[in-house]
Amino acid sequence: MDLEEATAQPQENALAQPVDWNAVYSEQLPRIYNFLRFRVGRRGDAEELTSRTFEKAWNARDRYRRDVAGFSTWLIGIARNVATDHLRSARNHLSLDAAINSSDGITAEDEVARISDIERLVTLTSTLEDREAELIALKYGAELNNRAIARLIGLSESNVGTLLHRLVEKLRASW
Amino acid sequence: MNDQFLHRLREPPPLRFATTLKAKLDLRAAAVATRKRFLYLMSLLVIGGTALAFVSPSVRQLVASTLESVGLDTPSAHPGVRSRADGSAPSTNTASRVASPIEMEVLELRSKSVERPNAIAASPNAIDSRQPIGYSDRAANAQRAALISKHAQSLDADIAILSSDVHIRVGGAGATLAIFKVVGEEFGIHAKQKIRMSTRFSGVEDGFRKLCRGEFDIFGASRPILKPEMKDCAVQGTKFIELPIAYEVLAVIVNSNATWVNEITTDELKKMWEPAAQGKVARWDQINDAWPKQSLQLFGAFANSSSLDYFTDAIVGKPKATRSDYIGTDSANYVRNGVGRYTGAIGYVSYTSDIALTTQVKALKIVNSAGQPVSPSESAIVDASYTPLSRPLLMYVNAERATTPEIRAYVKFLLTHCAKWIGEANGVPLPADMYESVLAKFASGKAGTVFDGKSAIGVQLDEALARDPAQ
Repeated sequence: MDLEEATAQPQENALAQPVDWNAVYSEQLPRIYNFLRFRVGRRGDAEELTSRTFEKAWNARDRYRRDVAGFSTWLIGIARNVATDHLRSARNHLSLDAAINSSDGITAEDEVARISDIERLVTLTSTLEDREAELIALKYGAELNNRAIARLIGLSESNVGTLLHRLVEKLRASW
Repeated sequence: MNDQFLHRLREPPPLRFATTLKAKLDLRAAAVATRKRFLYLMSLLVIGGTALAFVSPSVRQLVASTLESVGLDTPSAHPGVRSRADGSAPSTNTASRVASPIEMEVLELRSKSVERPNAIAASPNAIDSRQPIGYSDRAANAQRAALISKHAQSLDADIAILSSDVHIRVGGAGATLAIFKVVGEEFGIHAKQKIRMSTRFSGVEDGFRKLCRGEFDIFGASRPILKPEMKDCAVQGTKFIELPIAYEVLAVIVNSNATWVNEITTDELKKMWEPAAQGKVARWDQINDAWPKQSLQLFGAFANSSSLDYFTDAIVGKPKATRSDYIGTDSANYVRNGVGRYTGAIGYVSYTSDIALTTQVKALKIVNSAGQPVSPSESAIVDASYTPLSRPLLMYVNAERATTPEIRAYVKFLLTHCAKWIGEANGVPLPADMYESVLAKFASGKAGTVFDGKSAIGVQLDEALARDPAQ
């Protein structure tokens, strides 16, 4: 169920039927996993953060028994916080890693050439502002449309579209 | 690169991961539902019981006589409680408040929330003949109440001379941070909010660096300061006082139907948990020929938790060195329920977790370096025979700042009161007489470490406290 579609679903319809959490899990897992993969790059990290996101959400899912749309928005909100916390703590380690790597004579270009497209993308987005990197992950990882993104991060829909266009151009130039 | 290219970078979550996570969530949802049902029933029982006791004098009398017959004082036996029932305000004087048996009752109530591990020994699956842990022991609680009472006046005196808006900067991680947080809150109330506390997360290496630089007044660590860190402090001209505050203890639990195992060696645990075991070690007989061809389900802590760091450091020899195909969680209840569900399951949890609320799991004896299988118990923790899954938690106080009334008051408050709340932080308190020794050490102002830059695992704290520290 798309976040946008879920929001638009008639309330009575949502109230009438019990929530199939197995279906919700199947629908939301790829969205959350890919959002986090676009945010952190490494598959292992994305799995761990996805796990953490779902565990947090599942504990209180009854609160959303009658509002799956609210649950989806809430879930992506948790994933955003989990990713931010992770990146904040990882940044401290990054400087250490960078210091260690620099002594090995491995350049950033060598590193980029070695890794996969997604990791290459994350390496590039890590040079962007945090909000910009998150925009890329919400758009292409979580596959949210501009309207849903705008609602989540508090910008106008057209502003989101413009920002994304510029960001893709910027990434293309550095690819 | 374009829009479509970026969309194509999406990938389905790995099947193994999706399946494991789903199983984990199902288990968690079941545990949450069970807990809710339990709380609901308990609430009904408490409300019903209270109502019955109020309306029936004979029931009141029966309860009172029953409590007396099992050796518990009833509230009516305490003058302090009677005076409150009469409508008088409770005394705010620490000495008079603590000297009454009320404090002991509070300690007992707190202790009941952390006495679960006792029931490991008391359960039908018990495998330990040692004395149960002393949280609920009346004598131990009386000693702790006496400790509070003894130091109440000097604590109040330090608080009385505090200037307004003094600042204490505390750092820690894992269990020490949790202890500092709960103690900080209570201390703020006790000191009538005169003190501004900042309690920050800091990993152990970074924390020692900040202590040496004077950025922390107090730092809580799960290991002693190492020689390079001591050197760093010496270079910065910072002296520190090293004080033990609690123990961090992990219990290894298995399903109570796992009749083939009552004890386990660290080598066997390593074979199960080391990264090389991933995808290979999947049955018990792969660890020990004497064990059955039972499939192995592993439950442990999340990757960023201090429990995982400690467990992997103690068992595998390196923090975070673990296989990743296990069910990781930040909830001890979840580990307990998971292990209780599968016959072949094994997991590790903080010793103060609610293990005893179920008879479906049992704690294993750990074979220590002397070759003795030892169950987790307070005596085994104190005599350092339950190793390597028990270690002291230490507090390092900037020696210069230790002379200020705010640090004096905070440290005294922590050492005299923290036993009540350490269970909430997944720690195990020191015995009351040891807190007395630690307070004496703090009062002496002797700076330095007694561990010589080495591990504190397997070291008896009472012996360590008797040594002269070296800076």
